[in-house]
Amino acid sequence: MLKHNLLIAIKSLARVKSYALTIIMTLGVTLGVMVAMYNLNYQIIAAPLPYPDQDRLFLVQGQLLADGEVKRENYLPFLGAIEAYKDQHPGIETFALHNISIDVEQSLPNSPTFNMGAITPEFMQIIDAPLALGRHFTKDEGLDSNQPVAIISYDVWQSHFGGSSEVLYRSVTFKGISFVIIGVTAEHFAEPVLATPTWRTDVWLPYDYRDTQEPLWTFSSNQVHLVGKLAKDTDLNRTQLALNNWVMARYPAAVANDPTVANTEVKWRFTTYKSRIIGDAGNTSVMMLAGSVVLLLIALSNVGNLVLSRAVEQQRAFAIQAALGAQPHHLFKQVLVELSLLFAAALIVATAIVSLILGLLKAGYAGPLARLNELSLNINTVLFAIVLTLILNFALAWAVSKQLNYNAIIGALQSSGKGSGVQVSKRTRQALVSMQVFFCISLLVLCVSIFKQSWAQLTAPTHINTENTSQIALNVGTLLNDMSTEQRATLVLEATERLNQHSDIVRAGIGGYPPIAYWLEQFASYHSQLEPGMDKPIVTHKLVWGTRVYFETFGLTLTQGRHFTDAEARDRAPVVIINEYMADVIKASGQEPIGAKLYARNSSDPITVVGIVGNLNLPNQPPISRIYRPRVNTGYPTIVVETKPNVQLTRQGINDLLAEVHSQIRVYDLQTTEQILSSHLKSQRVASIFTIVLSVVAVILAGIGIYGVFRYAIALRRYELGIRMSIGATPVAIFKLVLIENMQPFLIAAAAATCALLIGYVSAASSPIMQMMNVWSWFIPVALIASLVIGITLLSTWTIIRQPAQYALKGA
Amino acid sequence: MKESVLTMSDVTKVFNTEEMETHALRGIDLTIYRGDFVSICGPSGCGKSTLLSILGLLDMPSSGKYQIEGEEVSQLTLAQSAYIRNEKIGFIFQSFNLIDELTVYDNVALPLRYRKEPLPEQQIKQAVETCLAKVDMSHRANHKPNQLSGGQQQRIAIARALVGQPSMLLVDEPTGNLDSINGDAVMAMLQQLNAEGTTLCMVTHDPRYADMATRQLHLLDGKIIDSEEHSDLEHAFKIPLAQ
Repeated sequence: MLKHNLLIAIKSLARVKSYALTIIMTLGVTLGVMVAMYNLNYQIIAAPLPYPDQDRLFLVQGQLLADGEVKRENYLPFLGAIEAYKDQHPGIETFALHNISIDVEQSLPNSPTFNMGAITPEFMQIIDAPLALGRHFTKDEGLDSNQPVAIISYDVWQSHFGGSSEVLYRSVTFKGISFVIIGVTAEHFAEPVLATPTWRTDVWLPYDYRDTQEPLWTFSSNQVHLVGKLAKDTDLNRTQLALNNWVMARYPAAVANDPTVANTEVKWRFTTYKSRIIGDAGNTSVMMLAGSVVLLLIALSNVGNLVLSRAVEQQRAFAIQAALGAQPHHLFKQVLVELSLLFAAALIVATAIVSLILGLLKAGYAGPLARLNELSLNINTVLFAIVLTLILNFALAWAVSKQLNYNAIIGALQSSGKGSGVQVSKRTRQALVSMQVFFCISLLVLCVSIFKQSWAQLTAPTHINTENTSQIALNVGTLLNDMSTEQRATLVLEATERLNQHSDIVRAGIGGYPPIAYWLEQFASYHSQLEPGMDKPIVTHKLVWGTRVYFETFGLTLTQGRHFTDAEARDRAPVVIINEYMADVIKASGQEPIGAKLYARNSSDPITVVGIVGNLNLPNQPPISRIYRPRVNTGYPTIVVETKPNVQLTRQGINDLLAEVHSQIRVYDLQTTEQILSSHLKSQRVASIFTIVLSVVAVILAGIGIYGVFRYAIALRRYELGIRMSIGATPVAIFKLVLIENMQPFLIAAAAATCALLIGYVSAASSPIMQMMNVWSWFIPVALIASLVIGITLLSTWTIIRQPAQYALKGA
Repeated sequence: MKESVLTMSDVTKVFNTEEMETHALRGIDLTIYRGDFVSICGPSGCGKSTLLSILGLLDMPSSGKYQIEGEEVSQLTLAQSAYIRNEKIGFIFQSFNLIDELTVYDNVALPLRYRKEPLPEQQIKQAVETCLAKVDMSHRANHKPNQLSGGQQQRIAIARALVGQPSMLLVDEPTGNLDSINGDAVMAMLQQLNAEGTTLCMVTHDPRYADMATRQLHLLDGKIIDSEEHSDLEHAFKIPLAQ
């Protein structure tokens, strides 16, 4: 019987190819998107980390407080971390240190830049990092051992050593030191992301070779991490409290001689690996899942409508079968088998869509989400897809069978067919349209809100110079240790001058990390006072060092006062240029900004404000006070250059120029300002594209569904409309009549969506998505869907109103 | 001198399908005068309904000229023909064509609600009540059509056709769905209306009812093959319709 039903269903579907294709593609695409989003959410939220005892792994994060007020988040005193690592702590099985940086390899062709991870041996041991070749670091290669060994990543092994098994005991060179390669991480090794989701370490070195300045209790950097593993059966909170007491006991004595941190305290807390790695990616992925669910619901409304319409078309076939003795369950089975075939085909399409989306996600097209490198189509997702498909299949078959009025079907053979048989009730039709409109408006409101914000950020003027400018981050190799600051200053100024002399370069200036650069976001904030004294108010601000040309090339525009002189930069003169936000702060204190004095916190050495520049509007950075000070940076210098139009600087070309100055100076990173801005705006760009695509797909799906329902309703009303036309109703009158009826489910759904959004707004007013909403993000979707309903009404009535009344009456 | 309500000259109607071309009407020349009661007879497929559709501007002729009260109507837009249909023509269909969702009152009022210039509700009410009284259906004003018998539904359809005070009533097989008693009653009503001055043009199969008309037109293969005045009735019966 099943075989017979299958054959009938296949033959039957072959006659309605466009119907079958529409359902397969609609379901396949939306099901695929939803399953992919389920997979992503499972991976991010539910899947266990690929590390043993994941719940016992933690990261220490800290805060700097003054007078009980948090002054800095993520404050981990560098030396404190090292001392904590060396000490014994109850409840903590082991600690490990981790420090990320970027360095230039000096022995490989083209001097590649690598992401570096300086670690103590425990770091890889507690996560049981899988290796393709070699071994982990041993205790003998731990802190203060100074053993020059390295573990390289699978990618570096493949791309720079050709995947050769002879790689072990070859070497890589950084800052003049050759490190023997003792291991290669496995291809599937998922590095715990402690700094930024996009970070992938290329080369691991022992912690002694960290690229961070002398350890101090007063220095903290987001490059430095202290991680650990709790002892078995240990309470995390109690252990955290004990460690916090440990650091609070040591910190005051450790910083007693530094007035800039007087009266401050440090608090440490534990963050589990899982929550650190996931971060707020869970919220993003849940939003994406919600969007895909709404899309699927819209698609299901469409498919439901198509299937119901087909049931109506099959009325005569059902009637004949019923007359021959088919019971209701026979008809149900027939509907079920036909739907099952369509769902099975849709599942195949969905699988392809899932693979495509997972590939795009892994390639970073959806932005830097957590755990993307672990993403793959897992058995859990496959089961979810199959179960979901089965549930939807049966639910739809059940819904259709509920619409099949068996008695009416039997009667259909005996009647003229007018007004009997299978009909999709007006209530069902209105419910279908209302559902689609409701989901579509809700989804569009969210999409418009997100798009509006993302687009505003993408198009907002930054007030920096992006035309023909580039940033060249320099690596000074062994010079960092081998030369004094003054010697390095002379050398990097010479290197800058060499660039200035190049025919393609208009100007070049040297400084530190620019306000927006290739490196990690969230640079440290600094604190200054307008009057010296521990009880005086503190101003929080950002600080950038550089020369006049550096700042001018970057795009700072002087609005008042003067710029630095070259001599001031060389001598690190106690002068400062401030931005307008900072000027406002100074004005608010009753002083004139130009000539005002700034003091480092609890210091009595003043620096004088000599100029004011315009504010910057940089992506992902809040409006904040900024100060710019004169200095020739020598540790991690960045040269900002302006080239002639249509000139493309190359890493090799710059390296050749720099080699003329000193062989240790190499390019760390070279990007145009446009590229840097673009990388910082990636999430906004992804959000804009994602919301546009989602909105367009949702509107198209809703449009198709609504059109199907309206067209069916018009077919049912054709005769009635013909009567109205015969007694004088004009085409416009007929259109109005149908429109008024069609607008009812729209108005109900629009009101329901508005209520739902208002409830969401009231109950979660402080959530980021609700913050993005305003009247326009509601009005645009409502107006769009209203126009869609009007347009589809016109389209669906067109066949009636564009012809003489006789055609409607006759059904021609 | 008789005043013409409508005049057709050399009107044709061709239906084109993918496979063939069907000439439903071939060179119809026809004039109907005010106060006429014209019946159109003929075998199935001879073009009676097509002619009635074109007369009532439900369809457009393929060629030829058509004037209603001196106004050329063969090339009107759909909206223009709707207004003329609304003001000058009343329809009575074989299957009544009442709208089931509306009450009797609203069905009858419907043509007045489609007027180019909206009428005041009081005027509509008065006109509807007058017409319902004329067909003796005032007591059923709040009923739905499906609560009425076939004969009652046809009387409501007549009321609806009259409510706009049209120049002419077009009647398509008015008794086709009725038993003989109700059929006779409806025909008596139509005769009465004609006697009161209403112009009628009726398509019918039934020679008994065709005889009630003052003029009979016989259609065959889309052509008027004969037109007779009431005085020639005896001759008319000898026309072999089956041919």
